[in-house]
Amino acid sequence: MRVGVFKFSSCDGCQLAFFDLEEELLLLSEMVSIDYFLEATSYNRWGNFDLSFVEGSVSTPEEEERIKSIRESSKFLVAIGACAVSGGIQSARNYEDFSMVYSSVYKGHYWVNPRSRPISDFVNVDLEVRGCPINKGALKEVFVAVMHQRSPQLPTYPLCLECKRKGNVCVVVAYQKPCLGPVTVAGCGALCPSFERGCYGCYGPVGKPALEALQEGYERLGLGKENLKELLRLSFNGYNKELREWL
Amino acid sequence: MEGKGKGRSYLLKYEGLEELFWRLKENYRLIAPKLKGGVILYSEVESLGELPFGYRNVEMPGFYRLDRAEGFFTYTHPVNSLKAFLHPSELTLMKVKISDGGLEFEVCYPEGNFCFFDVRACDLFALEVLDRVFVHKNSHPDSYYRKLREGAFVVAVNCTYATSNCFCTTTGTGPEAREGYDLLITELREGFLLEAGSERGGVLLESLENKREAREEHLLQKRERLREAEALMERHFEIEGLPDRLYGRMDSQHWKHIEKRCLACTSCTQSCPTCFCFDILEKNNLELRESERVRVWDSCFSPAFATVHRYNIRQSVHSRYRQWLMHKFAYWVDQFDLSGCVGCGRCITWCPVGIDIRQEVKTVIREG
Repeated sequence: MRVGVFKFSSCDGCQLAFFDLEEELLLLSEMVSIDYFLEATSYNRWGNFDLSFVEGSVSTPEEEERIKSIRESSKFLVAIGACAVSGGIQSARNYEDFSMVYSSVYKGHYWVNPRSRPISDFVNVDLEVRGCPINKGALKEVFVAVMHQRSPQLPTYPLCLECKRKGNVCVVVAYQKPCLGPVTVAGCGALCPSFERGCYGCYGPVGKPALEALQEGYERLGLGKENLKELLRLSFNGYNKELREWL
Repeated sequence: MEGKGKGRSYLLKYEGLEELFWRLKENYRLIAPKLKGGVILYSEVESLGELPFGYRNVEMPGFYRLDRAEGFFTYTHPVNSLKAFLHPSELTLMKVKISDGGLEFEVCYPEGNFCFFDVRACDLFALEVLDRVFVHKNSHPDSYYRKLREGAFVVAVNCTYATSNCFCTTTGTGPEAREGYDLLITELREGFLLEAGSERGGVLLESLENKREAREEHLLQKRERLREAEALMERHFEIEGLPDRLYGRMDSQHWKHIEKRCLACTSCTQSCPTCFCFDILEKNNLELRESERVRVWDSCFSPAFATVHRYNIRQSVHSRYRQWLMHKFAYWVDQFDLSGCVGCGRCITWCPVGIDIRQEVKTVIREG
């Protein structure tokens, strides 16, 4: 099996999840052929890939072209992390005046798109692995599932389920802290609520998130509609297809 | 004097209660309410002093707080329930390995040996519910649940207080602990009234040194104290005949209103002491030479729960809410000969947007 790992606009943190596999990465490198992985090796071969992992959002005209050629060369394409899945933290600019944002960062002329977009805005994605960053457990599950031709078992349910399984106390009810858990997909191990803070949504929205109901329900926490929108825009997943219309 | 249970009833001072605690601690893993992170949780405890004596849980829809109060058993049930110990949220059922060309199975039975100390009437009833679900009314009795439940010693406590979310008088499950315990404690002004509900409870009680016999007046005081809790609760709906009334409301327009408020976050089902739904996960290692079969809590609100052959038969949130409410109050009765709701109000408190199931039941049966 030929594997490629590709980077777009991102911080490289999701690629580090591969190294987080430690000994298992060595084992994996014997089981599959890692042909393209700039972060890991200087010896890269471009060709056709059975399994491709894409990190990062599409933010430049060059990236728009590159994601299309990776798609054409890949049998099974996996978007990894909030940037590839939703557009990342850099998609917060999508809701702002682009020229203001641009001039606050760059001096001179660079080719940067006004919007940072998820790769699914350009090509068909076979699977999404959520998180900022993703975790090695999910990565391993993808490898095992693809190698053995079964469906990956990745959570689609809200964080609250995982949080309760962990025995955590709800931070909304007990401490009146706003938490995006009810509309965020599980998978992180309910990390933030385990330390008595609200989930900020880095795993991105569940399918059909109940945003209106959440907004009404959280009014009693003193969280207005605009505050909730800002929380979601800064969740690293603000430009996810499930959120962008509401925002 | 003779209690209504097995053998005599006694009055204990705090020292007597401590003696009882240590005697149980010698033989069991002691699970009791304990203060943790500003809430009361069932936890393994090492001493009687760890119980949240003098604390009072204040609960409203989507709200929880602790206050101080005069006395010992001044709170109601903890945030979590005994489900966490008898039907753990994550339980490895077995491990499979490839060895010598064959498969090697290792069944992983968990260790139980529990004493549940300070169990309120609602949670006592939940134990009965879970016993039926997993064992007595199950054509394939669950050996894992049975192993954890086996021999568990139960010390019940009568509630003398109720939160505004408690509704055990509506469901007919409390506040008085009626059966399913080994010992029952009621806090009175001059001490703790101890009654035995089983033979082994009676034997243990007789063997305590720090005690004196209870008198008629103490049993009267017990009734008074229970009335204090009862007076704090209103009757929300008539439980008798409720399944039939609900069956007539399957097409009620009210279900659709819930869609506007429910987040489908699963919190109600996870805090419920009787919701038992689970998923089975296979955790394979990378070489596929070892696999672990794990049982985890699931929820009828989870989007994958009713997905059959990639099609979700309950796509709308209101259809999932209807499934949950109808199961609790109607289907459950057909399946297990008792209601799935024990009136503890946990689902009301721990709903992040404060949906009140009592109100939903009332509206559905009234409006049609």
